[in-house]
Formats: sequence, structure tokens, C-alpha cells
Amino acid sequence: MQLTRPPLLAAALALPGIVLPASEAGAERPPGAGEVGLRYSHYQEYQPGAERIEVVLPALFVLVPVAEDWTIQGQLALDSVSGASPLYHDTLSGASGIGVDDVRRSLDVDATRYFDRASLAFGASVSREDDYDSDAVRAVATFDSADRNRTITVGVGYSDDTIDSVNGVAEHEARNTTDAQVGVARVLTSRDVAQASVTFAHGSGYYDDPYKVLDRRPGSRDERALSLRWNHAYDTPGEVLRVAYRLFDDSWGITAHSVDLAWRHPFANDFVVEPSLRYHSQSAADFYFDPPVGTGFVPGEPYSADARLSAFGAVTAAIKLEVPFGSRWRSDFKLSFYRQKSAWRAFGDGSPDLLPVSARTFEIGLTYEY
Amino acid sequence: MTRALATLAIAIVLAGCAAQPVQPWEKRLLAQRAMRMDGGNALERDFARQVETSREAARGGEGVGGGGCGCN
Repeated sequence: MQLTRPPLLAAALALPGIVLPASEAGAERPPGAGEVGLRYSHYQEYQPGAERIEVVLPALFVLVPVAEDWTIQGQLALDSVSGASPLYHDTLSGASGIGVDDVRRSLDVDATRYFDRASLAFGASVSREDDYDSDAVRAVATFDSADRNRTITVGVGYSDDTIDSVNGVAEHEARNTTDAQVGVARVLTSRDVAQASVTFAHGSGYYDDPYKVLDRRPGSRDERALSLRWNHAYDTPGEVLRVAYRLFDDSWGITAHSVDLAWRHPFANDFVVEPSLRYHSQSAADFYFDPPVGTGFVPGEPYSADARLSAFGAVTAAIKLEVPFGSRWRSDFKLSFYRQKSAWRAFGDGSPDLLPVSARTFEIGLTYEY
Repeated sequence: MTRALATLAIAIVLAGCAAQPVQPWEKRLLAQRAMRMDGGNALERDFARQVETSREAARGGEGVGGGGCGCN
């Protein structure tokens, strides 16, 4: 005879504790609640003496429980980029009079099957731009321990990208990337959950920036990232402290450290304020050369003057306000400021002769649960 | 250094508090949406990642098989 659990206990047992990485819906999400999310994001970048870059991104998220054990999750986004690229060595920049104007359409779909103490998800992503197409697939499995205090996540993914630059420099160039992930999340106490996750990626193909002068990068890239997270819950429901650290390195010689801190603080009848702070620091790629462009260039050798491959530090400060209305709706408003400077690099000198980059983002989000 | 840090981190997570496993009825606070490792909002997280990867050289550490874009 099979024992039947009382419904309340069953619900408590199914309740997580353990939480999964990123995009994957996992065992922590009780399949039963559906969700629709809308978000409008606006990004504006400034650099002294340069034209502004602006990105507008409306996006839609839908999570649908199907039958008892499945969820289907979809995400649709449309981003429009306008304005000039950052200063330095851009053939597409405002200086040449062409300017950047591009629309990216992307769709992600994931289907997750839940088992008693495991889940299996399959997903695909499609992204289309004037000059860059990407198709990706992934499979992610999670396994809970018998007491559900530990979850192991294993995932693999593959992405097939095609580059066709509008200036004719890159014509149907390919780039393929295979990546893998192993992670373990653990309930430490009745208020603390921690997670360690490692991802590896191997890519090969075209990596040059076709819009930059003399940009010649290696034909492959191996990346490793270690991500550590710790979430702490306070007595007040909804009050949470989140701490994250990521260590990254790759075969191009870049090592990076990123630290994220967020404190979610409820006040006055379910309003929530969430200040957050992020610090990022990276070393330069082996083949990055300081301006003026062309310095250090050797024909046949990798060369780039792309400031994104330089050594610098960056800080993001953000504040988010969540406003509830009704029992099923939530809205949020988020403002963040980003600043990147050579001098802010940790563990070494930043690359010289680069102008700081600043950006401001504004987001409005709406979520409905059913 | 990378390897030492990684080993240490994984050891901490694996070893943490194995002596006193948290019971299901003690997980009320852990079950909150805000306690999810991904922050509970996919759209917000993805936008932040996009801003970072279009301005910085590092990425990864969470999830696999994401769609690429020409922004980086």
C-alpha cells in the first residue's frame, strides 16, 4: 500500500530551499504557478567627446505550467541600438558618418520536466540582427539529495553564430561555441543558501570586430568561470541579502573578478527597496595594444585596440523599487549607473590613454502570477 | 590561484553544515522568491548580463547555451 502524504506536508516538502542557477527553471520552482512578465529597459551610454549610444529593449516573459510535471518558458526581446560606437578605432562610429543602427530580435524557449527529486530541461535560443545571427540549444539536469538540502546541476549547450557585417568585411563568417556547466547548491542553515558553479566554454571561428581597424583576434577562445553565490534571509519576510562573486579567465589572457551585492528591504506594506552594488575588474587580452591605433601591430599576429579587451575596473550602483498592487501583480522600477575607468582596476595597472565610459539604465517591470 | 580558489569554494559549499541538516519545515524563509539564486526575475537578470557583456570581456558562470549577440 502506498502512503499518501497530507497535502500541506507534501507542499512543504516540495518547497525548495535549493535554488538553481540562472536561466534554468529548476526543482525549486513548484510547477503549478504560471507567470507573465513585461519589462522595458533603456540604456544610455556617454563618453567624453563621443556621440551617445542608446539601447531600448522591450521584453516579454511567459512561464506556463503544463500538466502536472512540465513547464514551458518563453522569452521574447527586441533591442534597438542607435547612436555611435565608443571612441577609438571604429569604422562604424559617428566620425565616419555611418553610425550604428541595429535591431536585435531574440526568442528563448525552455521546456522543463520535473521528477520527484530531479528536473530535466531542454532549451533553444534564436537571435537575429542585421549583421549577427545566433542559434543555440541547451540541456540542463538537476538532482536533489534525499533531504533536498543539496542540488547538483549539470548542463551542456551549443551555439552556432553567423556574422555578416554591413560593411562587407565579414561575409558569412561562422563562430561555434560549446559550453558546459557543473554546479552544486546547498542549504546551509534555515536562512542561508550557497551555490558554487563552474562553466567552461570552447569556441572557434570568427572573433574579429569587423567594424574596427586592424582587428585580428585568435580563431578560438576557451573560457572558464567560477561563480559563487550566497543568499541570506532575515526575519522579515522578503528581506534578503545576496552576495555573488565570479572569477573568469580565458585563453586570450584575460582574468576578471566581479563582485555583486544586493540588499532587498521591504517597507510600508509590501513595498520593497533594493540597493545594489557591483564591482568588476579585468586584465587586458594578450593581443590588446594601447592607443594610438596600430602601435604594436605585426602582420599575421593577433591585434586589437578594442577597449573592452583592455585592463580596467567598473562600478555599477543601482536602486530598485518594487510596488505591489493586488495579490498577483508586482511592478518594479530600477535605475542604475555604470562607470568604467582604467584606474579602477584591482591587482594591477589599468590600460593607459582610454577615456572613461559611463552609462545609465532605467527599467520598468510588471509581473503577473496566476 | 584560480585553482586554489575554486577548490576552496567548492569545499565550503560541499562541507557546509552537514552536521545539522535543515528540515523541510525550517525552510519557510528559504522558499521565498527573493531567495532564488537567479534573483527571481529572468528579464531583469538578462538585461543586466547584456549590459555587462557588451562593455566587458568576461562572462559565464551561470547557465549554458545562451544565444550570442553581435554586441560583444
